Amino acid sequence: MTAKAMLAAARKDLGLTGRPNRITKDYAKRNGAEFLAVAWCQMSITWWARQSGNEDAVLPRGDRAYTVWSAEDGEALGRWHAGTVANIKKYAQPGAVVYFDWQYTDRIAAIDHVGLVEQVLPDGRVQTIEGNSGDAVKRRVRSADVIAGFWNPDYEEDDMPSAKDIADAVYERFTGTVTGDVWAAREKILDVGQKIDPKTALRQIWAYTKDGYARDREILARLAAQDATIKALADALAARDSNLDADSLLDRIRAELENVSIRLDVGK
Amino acid sequence: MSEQQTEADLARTHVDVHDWGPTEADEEDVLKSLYGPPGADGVYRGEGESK
Repeated sequence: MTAKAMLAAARKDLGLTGRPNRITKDYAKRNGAEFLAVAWCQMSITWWARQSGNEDAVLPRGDRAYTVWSAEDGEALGRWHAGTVANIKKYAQPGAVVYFDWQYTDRIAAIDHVGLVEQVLPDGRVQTIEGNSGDAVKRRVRSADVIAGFWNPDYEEDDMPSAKDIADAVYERFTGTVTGDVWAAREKILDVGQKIDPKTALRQIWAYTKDGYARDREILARLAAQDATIKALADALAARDSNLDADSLLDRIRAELENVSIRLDVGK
Repeated sequence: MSEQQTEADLARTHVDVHDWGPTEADEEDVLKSLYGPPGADGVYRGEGESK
C-alpha cells in the first residue's frame, strides 16, 4: 500500500481524544490490557499502518507501542536519518515516521514522541499528524530542533501498480484467452479464442524465439552468398578485360550498397 | 518478562511526556494557512475532513 493511504488513515482520526480509545483498544486486544491507558503516540502509527495495509512497510518487526523500538526498526532497515534541516529537506517525504526528543538531541534512545509527516515545509520544518499530542490526534508543526530523526517506510508508489496487480496481469496473460487485438493473433502465431495455458505459452515463446534466430541466420547466409556472387562477377569481368580494376569495382559496388535500403521478405 | 510486557512498561514511562513538546511560535498561522481555521476542539481539518 501507499503513503497516501497511510495519511488518509491518520486524517480519519483527527480530533480523537482521551484514553482508552479505539487505537489503544485495538493494540491492547492483541498485546495486553496494560496498553489501554499508556502513551499512545506510537500505537497510533501502528493503528494507521494496519488500517491502511502498510504493516510490511511501517511495522517491519510487528506492532510497536514504544517509540525507541520503532525508530530502531527503521535504523535496522538502513532508512534512518538524523533530524537535521539538511536531512529533512533532502530525504523527508509525506508518510515518513518522525521522532522527537524534547531535549533536542538526535539520539534514538532519547526519543519522547512520534508523528507522521504530512508535509515537508519549504523552511525545513515538517507538518505532522500526531496521536497523543495533548491526549488527542492533532496536526502539528515541528522543527529540526526537536526532531531526533525520521525514516521513510518502503511504501509502494501511488502511481505504480501493486505487486499483486502485476502478478495478476502476468497470470491473466498466461492463462487467458487470445483476443484478436494481440500481436500473436495478428501474426497468426496464436488463434483468436485459443485458451492459453502457461506451459503452452512458454513453449510458444521459446519456439518463436528459436524461429527468430533461424530467420536471422538465413538472412546472414543470403547476404554472404550475395557478397560472394558480386565478388565472383567482378573477378569474371576482370578476367575478360585486363584493364578492369576488380578491387576498385568491388569498392564502388560496396559504396553503392551502403546507400541502399532493402526490405527482406524471408520465409514467405 | 515478555517483549510485550517490557514494551508496556517502557511506553508507560513516557506517559504525558508528549505534552511537553515545544510549540512553534507560528504553528497556528502555518496550520491556518494550510487548512483554514481550527474546529471548536482546536484541531485543524482540511476540506472534507469532517469531525
